[in-house]
Formats: sequence, C-alpha cells, structure tokens
Amino acid sequence: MQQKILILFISLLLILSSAYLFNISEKKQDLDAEKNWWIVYFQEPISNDLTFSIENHTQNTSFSWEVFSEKNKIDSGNETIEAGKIKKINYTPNEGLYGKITIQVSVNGESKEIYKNIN
Amino acid sequence: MLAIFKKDTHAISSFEGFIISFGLSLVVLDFIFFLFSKLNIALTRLSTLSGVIVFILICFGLFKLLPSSAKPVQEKLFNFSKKEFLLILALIFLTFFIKITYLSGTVLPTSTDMGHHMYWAEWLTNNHALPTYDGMPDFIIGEHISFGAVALVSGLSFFSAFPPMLLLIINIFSILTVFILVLRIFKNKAIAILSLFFLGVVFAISSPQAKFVSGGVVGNIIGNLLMPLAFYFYYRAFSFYQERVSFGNQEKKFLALAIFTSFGLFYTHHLTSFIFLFIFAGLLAFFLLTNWRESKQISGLAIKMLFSPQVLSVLALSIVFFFFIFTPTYIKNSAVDTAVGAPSKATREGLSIATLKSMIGEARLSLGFVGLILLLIYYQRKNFGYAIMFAWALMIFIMSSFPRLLFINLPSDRIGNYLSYPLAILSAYAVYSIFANLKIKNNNLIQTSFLLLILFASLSGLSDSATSIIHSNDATELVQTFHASKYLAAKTNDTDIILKDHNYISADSWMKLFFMRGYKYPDSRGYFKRYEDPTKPREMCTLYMISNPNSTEAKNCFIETSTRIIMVNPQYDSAQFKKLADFNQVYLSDKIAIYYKNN
Repeated sequence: MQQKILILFISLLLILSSAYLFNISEKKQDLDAEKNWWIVYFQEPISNDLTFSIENHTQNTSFSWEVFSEKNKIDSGNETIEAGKIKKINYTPNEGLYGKITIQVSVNGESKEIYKNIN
Repeated sequence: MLAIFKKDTHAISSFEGFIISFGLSLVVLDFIFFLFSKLNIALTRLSTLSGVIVFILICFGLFKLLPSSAKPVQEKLFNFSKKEFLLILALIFLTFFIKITYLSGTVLPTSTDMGHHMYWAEWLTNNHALPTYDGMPDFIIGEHISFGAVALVSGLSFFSAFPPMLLLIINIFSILTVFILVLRIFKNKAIAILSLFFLGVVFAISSPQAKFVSGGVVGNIIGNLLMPLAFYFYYRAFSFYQERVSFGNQEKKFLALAIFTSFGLFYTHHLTSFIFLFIFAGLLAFFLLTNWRESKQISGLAIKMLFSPQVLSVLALSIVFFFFIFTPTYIKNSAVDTAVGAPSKATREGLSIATLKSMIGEARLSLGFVGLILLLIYYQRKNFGYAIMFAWALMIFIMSSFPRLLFINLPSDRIGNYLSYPLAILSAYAVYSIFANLKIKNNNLIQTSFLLLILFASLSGLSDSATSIIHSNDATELVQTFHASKYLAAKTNDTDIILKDHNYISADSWMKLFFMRGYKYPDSRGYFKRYEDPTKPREMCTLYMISNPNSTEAKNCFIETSTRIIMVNPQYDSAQFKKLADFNQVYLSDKIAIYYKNN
C-alpha cells in the first residue's frame, strides 16, 4: 500500500508540476501578456517596396507616422491600433523616390524609424 | 520488468519497478529508433507508437508465457514505519517544490545549450530520421531521441515547457534511483532517507540539478540517471556473493539489464560514459583486491554468469547495435583520443578543494569525505555496493582533481559536477554512521549535535537554492527575438545569408529552430573573448561584419560570405550601420534591429 501511495504521490506531483510550468511558459511567451513593446518593419525587406507594418503590444493605441526623403518630410498619417493588432500601411509614393527614405513612427512620445537607401 | 521478473516476484518491489522502468524505457526507445533507422522506417507519430506498442505486446506475451510464481514475496526493505514514510513524502515534496520554484523563473527557452539540443530534436521530427549531426562529435543521439519521440507523439512545440519538464522528470528519477540503490546496498532506511535529503533537497538547484535542467545540459542529466541505474543493476547482479557462493537466474537477468543500461549510457553521453568506464574499472579492481583470496572464484563465477544465455544475448544484441546498426558519432570521430593525454589547458589541470567546495557545497563535501573514510572503516568487502560507492566517489575525485594521474584531458569542472551524487550518498552514510554508533535516543547532547549538523547542511544547501531563485523573469526580450526570427524566416530563403549577434541578443541560439536551414544557420558573432583566444584561432569575419562593417576586412568578408542580413541589439550595435548608405534598417523593436545590405 505504501509503495502504491508513493507512486501515486510522485505521479501527482509530476502532473501538477507539468501543468504549472506549461501554464507559466505559455503565459510568458504571449506577445501581449504583461508586456509593453511595439515594432515597425518593412513588409518586403529586400526589395525597394516601402509598405510597412506597425505591430502594437502596448496599451497605447494612437500611432503617427511620417515619411522623410533624406531630411525632407514628404508624407504623414495617424493610425489607431489596438493592443495585439498589426496595421499594414501600403505606402506608395506619388513619384519615384531615391536616396534615404525614412519612415518614423511615434507613439506616446517614443519614436522608432526604419529606412531604405534606394539607388 | 514484469516480463523479465515474473518468476522472481521478490526480485523487485513495485516502487523499484516504477523507478527502474522509466530509465529502461528511455534506453528501449533508443533501440527502437535505431532499428527503425536501419530498416529505413520513417520516424513518425504512427511508427513511434507502433514500435512502442509492439514492444509492449512482446513483453506482455513473455509475461503470459512464463510460468507464474507461486506466491509473491513481500519485500520488507520497502516497508517503512509511519514516521519514515511521512518523511519520505515530505522530502519528495520539498525536492519538487524547490526545483519547480526555480524553474518557474527559468522555464522559458533562453538557454544556449537547450537551443542547440532542441535543434537536433526538431530536425528528427521534421525529417523523420535520426540526425547525422553534420559530423559533429559533441552531439550524441541518445540526448535527442526522447525529446523527438515526445514531440512526434504529442505534437508539443519545443518552445513550450516540455523540454525542461522532461529533463526535470529525468532528474527526479535519477534521485529516486539513488534512493533505491542506497536502500539495496546498505539495507538501511535511514541512510536512504538521508540520501534523499542530501541529493534531493539540499543543493536542489545548483549544478548538476535544476540549473542543468533549465540550462539544457541534456547529456549530463540523462547520464546521472543511467549511471546510478547501471550501478543498481550491477549491484543486484553481484549481490549474491554477499550471502551465498552461487547465482541464480535472477542475477543473470540483472547483469543483462546492467549491460543494456550501460549501452544506453554509451548512446547518450560520451563524458558520462567515459567517467562510468573509469569508475567501473576502479570498482572491479577494488572489489577483487579486497577479496583477493576469492578473486579466482569470483572471476570464475562472473565469467560463468557472463556466458549465460540471458547475458550473452543482450551483450551480443547491444554490440551488434553499437557497431552495425547505429554507431555513435563520437566513436566514428575518435573523440576518445582527444579526452586522453596530458592536460592541455589550465582548466583541465584539476580542481582545488576550494573550487570543489563551491561546486558541491561545503556541507556535502566535508560530510562526503568523512563518509568515504567511514565507509573504509566499516567496509564490508563482500558487499559489491561498498566497492561501487568507494570507486564512484574516489575515481571522480581523482579524475577531477588529479587528472594527470589517469591521463585525462577534459575540463575538470565538468567532471567535478559528477561528484555531488556519490558525495550526497556518503554524506548520508556519514551522518548515519556517526549517530547510529552513539546511542542517540538516550543522550540529549548527541541529539542536539545531530540536529545542528542537519541544520548546518540544510542552511548551507537551502540558502544556495534561495540565492539562485529568479523572482521575475521578463520575457519581453525573448519574444522580440522570436518575433524577429519568424519575420526573417518568412521573408528570406536558403540563399540569404544571415548574421546575428550572440553577445547582446536574448535566446539567440533558439533562432535556428525557426529557420531549420542547418545547425550553423544563421551565422553568429560569438563571445568577444573567443576571438582573442590565442590557443584557438578562429574565423574573424563574424566579428568584423558586425563590430566594424565599414572596415576593409569586413567589406572583404561581406563579399566572401555573401552575408546580406544582420540582426543585432540596437542598444549596442546600431550606430555603425546607421551611418552607412549600403545598409537599410528594415525592422526595429526595442531589442532587435535588422539591417539589409543593399549592394
């Protein structure tokens, strides 16, 4: 009887431990749970395409973006992006752009920029 | 176990069967996969389950075919008093509790070693075959089969908690294996319970325990299960000599299982196997020397046992598998040659007592050595278990502290980690031997001393655990690395060469699992100190291309390696790229920036 109890006790502890660790791991790897971060990236990193995405994992939802050709601002916009959502912005310039094209995204006083040097 | 021992129901208790069957299952699974590999059967969920079910059916058939034992014999050794039983339950609970508390902060897939190992386990599940490791001798198949099998059958992701959980289960079973080994050798419940305390509860986190679990030191963790398990079987095989002068079928079966487990170890970890072979040689020499007058008789009996059908069939099967069905990479690549010889580095010249103290813990080290001396004082020469204990502690001590004596050329600290198992047992033996001989029940002073000693060991072991526990583990860096990896995996193909940084990016060794384009993909800028090691000259391109991308050396490297994509932590490595017109910054989060070389 003692041995059966020991086996059951160890098995039970293993099951409970597994459930606990799986739960923690899943929760911590969730992109949004207890986290505050956001990203901006080009949809096509290799080509000259300027379509970009903003991915929001913060509680702030009001994003703004500006496009610069070298240091000249040529376009801008505002986006409302809910937490956990991605907004793809199909930016197509009116005319062919060359040189350093920078996309600057801001939220709550914080900015991030991505750029392409187009020849 | 039932198929093997049905006729000898007194051979193992149900609790022993529970513990032993886990370790044996890992080895059986290895052999099933080797056979499938040789027969070109794809390793899938169906084949894995079929292999296991067929094996179970064969065992069940044997169980039914073999005649039953008349009466099951109750094993008194496993009948505990109420106090003993509650203490065992409490110690097992504490072992779990401390380890789980630590793992709750370290369960995330960030460990470099775990990332490397899980790449090969993922390779196995993706390619439905055993990995060949691109000729690298440092990886051994037994380290990855159990992970691959779990992933194949369950469909669980390698990024989930299952890899550390599986290692934790193996670690827990290694402690329980030591418990039954000690109980069998010393036939003393107090020593077995104290072993559980010194191995499971005290220093439950430090290496090679929970830290190795979260760190993904797979070979060491499995090795520390299979080595005591092999010792258990060898002890049971040769325990007949303690009581009588002949052996029966039961001993032959134990020897067969011992050989089977030893081969399982050879398939799992070269360092543990290497240590095991030294211990084995030491224990045979010691046992024969201490029984010098009967050594001829013992050797004769051992040879007779070896040439029994049970043992010979398992030995032959294991040798056929080892040399003709599936040979470990380290044998093919002569890794053994590099482990033998004069120490080639300062880190291989042996550990000082101070270093051992910090590795094993002051209480365990001092009590362990006292235990070793007491073991010699109360030595029972006919008990094969005493020879195992003596050789286990002494050989590892010599290998780690005086490697020149045995011509060993391996990192001494890696060997030193193995000392904690035998020294925990010897600590238990020391505490028991001291106080059992002092009529503890009738003397308050001795009772107080006993409590103080246990308190000292507890405080030193538990405070070590308390300082190791990480209270908050922010996973933001990890999810950013994985997000960027997914982005790159989706936007690039095999021809795009990617270089990432290992110094400042969290969990970067796991990136390769997103690509599965080769073990060394993506390229990596390693730790800076490695580029400065004069004993190990290495390529410098990975350093130049990130640290100084505009230098002549880096420009040549970009041409030579065709590297176009760089992934770094922008807090440390973005200024050098921002000022260059031939790099586009295509992705940016707080911890990850990705640059694309546009010409």
